[in-house]
Amino acid sequence: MITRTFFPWSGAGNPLSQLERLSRQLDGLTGERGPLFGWAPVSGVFPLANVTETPDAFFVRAELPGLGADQIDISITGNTLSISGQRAIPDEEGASYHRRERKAGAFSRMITLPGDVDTEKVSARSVNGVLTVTLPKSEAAKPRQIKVKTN
Amino acid sequence: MDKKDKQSMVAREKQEVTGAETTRPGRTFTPEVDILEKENEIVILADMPGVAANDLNVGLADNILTLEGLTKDAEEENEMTVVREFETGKYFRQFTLADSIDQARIEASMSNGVMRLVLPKVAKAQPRKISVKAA
Repeated sequence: MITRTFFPWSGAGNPLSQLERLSRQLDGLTGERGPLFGWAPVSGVFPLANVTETPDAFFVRAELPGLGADQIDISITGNTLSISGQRAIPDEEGASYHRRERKAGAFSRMITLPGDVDTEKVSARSVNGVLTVTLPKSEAAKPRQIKVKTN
Repeated sequence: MDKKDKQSMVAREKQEVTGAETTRPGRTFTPEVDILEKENEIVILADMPGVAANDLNVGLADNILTLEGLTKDAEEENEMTVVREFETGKYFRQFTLADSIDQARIEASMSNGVMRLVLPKVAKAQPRKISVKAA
């Protein structure tokens, strides 16, 4: 099963992303989240992802506990990133369960990035169950400083 | 493979710990756990993504088991948020243990953000002969 999810932005002028940015700046000032910005836009598709950017690259992070680097499939087509895999939690032998809260199953998610990326240079690593995908921006998508000349 | 391993996973928001405030700033979440009992031991598995082995604290006092996992902010300072769907923070959870546990042999390990804690049960109390010394 493939579930497509697209982030609800439409360019840099999206009010939601501006609010998020403002929220993060406020966090930096006060060191905590204010009640107004305490929500997060949740896509409902596993895994939940945080996307950040620097002038040179996008970063996509997702929490995938119990999955090793070789158990996560990542592919990139254009500026659409796909993360898929399967988490199995085998029954332990001779055990009776008191609680069973952890969930197993298959997952597949697509994330469209808001700019072009250099697909050749995309890299991913998984540390302590947190996946980080680094997607360097293509040359055309990088911000270019323009000098203002005087007479 | 079990049937449960084939169904699709659903995104769920992390459960935030409410109640007593902690001294450290930041958010605290409840890790999801599996607890199972075997003949000689109790095993607790907890999902704590982002926690390294040496950032995990396990304590047992008066039959109350405390699990605490600290995380470091994965994001660099120059990164700007585009979309934020999940929050990060530390993990905290406590359990009351009914069976007597051999504290000296408790073992904890972390693998890909999953903690495995093995709590061996105390061997049945052996009858002990007490000799009375003549004064």
